[in-house]
Amino acid sequence: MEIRVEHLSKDFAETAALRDVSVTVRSGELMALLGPSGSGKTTLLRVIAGLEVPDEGRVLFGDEDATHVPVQNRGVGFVFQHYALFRHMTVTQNISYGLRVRRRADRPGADEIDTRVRSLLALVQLEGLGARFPAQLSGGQRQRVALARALAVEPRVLLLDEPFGALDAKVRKDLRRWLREIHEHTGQTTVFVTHDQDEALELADRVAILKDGRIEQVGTPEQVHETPATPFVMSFIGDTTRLPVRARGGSLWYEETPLSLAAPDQGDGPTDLYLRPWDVAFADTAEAGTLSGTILTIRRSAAGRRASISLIPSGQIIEVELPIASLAAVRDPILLRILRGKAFPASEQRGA
Amino acid sequence: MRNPPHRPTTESPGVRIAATLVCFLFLGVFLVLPLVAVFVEAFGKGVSAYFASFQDPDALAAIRLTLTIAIIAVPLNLVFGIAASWAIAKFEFKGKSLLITLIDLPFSVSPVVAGLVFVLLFGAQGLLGPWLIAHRIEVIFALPGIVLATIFVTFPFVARELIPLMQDQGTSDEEAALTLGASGFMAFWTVTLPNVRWALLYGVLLCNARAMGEFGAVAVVSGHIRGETNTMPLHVEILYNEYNFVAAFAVASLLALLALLTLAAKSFLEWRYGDAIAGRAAH
Repeated sequence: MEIRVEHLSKDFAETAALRDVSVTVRSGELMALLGPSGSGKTTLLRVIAGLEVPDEGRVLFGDEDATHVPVQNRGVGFVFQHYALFRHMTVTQNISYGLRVRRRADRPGADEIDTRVRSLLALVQLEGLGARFPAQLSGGQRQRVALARALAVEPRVLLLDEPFGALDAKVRKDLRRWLREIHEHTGQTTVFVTHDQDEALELADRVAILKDGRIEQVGTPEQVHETPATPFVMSFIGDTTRLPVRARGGSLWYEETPLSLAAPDQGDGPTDLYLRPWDVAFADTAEAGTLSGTILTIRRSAAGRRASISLIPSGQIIEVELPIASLAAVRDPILLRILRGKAFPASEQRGA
Repeated sequence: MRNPPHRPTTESPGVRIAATLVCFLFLGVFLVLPLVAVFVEAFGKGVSAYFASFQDPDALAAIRLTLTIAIIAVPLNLVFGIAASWAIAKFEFKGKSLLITLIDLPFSVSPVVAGLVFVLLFGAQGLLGPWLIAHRIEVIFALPGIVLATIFVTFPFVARELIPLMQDQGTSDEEAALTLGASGFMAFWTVTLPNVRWALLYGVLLCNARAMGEFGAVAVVSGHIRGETNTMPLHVEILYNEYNFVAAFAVASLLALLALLTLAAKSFLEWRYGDAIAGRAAH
């Protein structure tokens, strides 16, 4: 089921939550809505679900205009951030709820409901826990019950709001992989909201990045990572350092140093160069295009080591990934070479 | 060296014992002693005198009237309480904080004033008095007046229990039910009500205890007509003023017994379902 959202706008009392948002979720696709808090991603999801009515714009499910279809009739499965499991019902009763509240004519028989619940419990790997109450489950298990409950009504679209937000790192990783598997198994058109760029890039077929109620970019994880459309996308997807440079005749200069980077599309003038920590390498000898600096701090993370380097003489700080074998230490003078980067016209606000 | 036997963040044992003693002493003098006195006085002239007090037709009428009032007032406040807390907890609307303040009004207004308000409204000299008299509708000095006054003084009980719990629970459970295809009514019946059932019961218990025990507001509107508009608390006062102590305390002991039963039921609910009542229901 393809979902098209056309020119959606939605105002809340004080802030505009969505401003002229258009995006298409392809049939069978797993799409992430990624953005910082307040970017409107959850509002967009809730408008698709029918839990919010847009001020302007349309929501189409296939060719059907669903903008004003009540939430009950939209055929969406919604997984809430805090699961919203019915605490007074067992796991089985939770999962079968959507089937049991149907009108008598549409309601499956008790045997069929039973079979359906069993297969869903198997799908979410919770066999044998059907008689438990939500309070007796771990966070990850509750999340899986919430997913099974949403899938039980055979929705046309599956919508998940920060599905792993409340879980610890290890469980998140497992559930991510598992959600990907379920998606491959069911082929369900799925949209999920997250503020975690790793989650979005790892899980989604395509990512829509939102900021201040607007879509900044829609693309595959590869596209948004490698060819970010805006400085915001660049800095939101992964760590970046912004280096104020100057474009002159198709190449970039940092102060008086010519960087060996071509920027043919950049007009002459102040330019922002965005660098990933691994876009900068250490150089052994000073030559054209090398920058010198001093190591201020070295930090250890799970993935590797990061150095904060203060450039000489400007004092501009850039973050650089240290090579595994590097013996560099704090206060060492070092030489750097910029290997690649992404140039955008200089923004007004400097100093991020 | 061993550490001192109490935690560093706690008072010393002497202070704790003193504070506990003060508490018990205070409760003993002001609560337990009077309660015991009621039963002692009621059985002062023997068990048969005690039970004879309930043979009196006026006493029976008072008991019947009190039960009737509770049967009318409590369900009405149940409906009102659910509606008010539902509206306050789940919707955003103008005048919400005013509504919350208004719900508390009966707690802050003296019951006598509440009673007088109804006399001013419905009494013979009151705003609606002439119209009511023309249509031969009796409100003041009759059952409707007593019920109105009772509803007024008891209406915060259910709403006050439900509002914080419903606010804490938010709306996502109901939204989940809606996305699964439930109608609004189904969502309310299968999700909202079960989520608040214990707090609701608790509120109803408190509401009932107050409805049966209310004196001030009811005294103003009832007119003290024996056998007709005398509730149990009013009847107790009349008997007492007539120096009929055994009968007065016998009826009073029934009210006290009711209070104790309510308290026991409340304690049981708190012990058994404390988390759900406090809104911390495991989730």
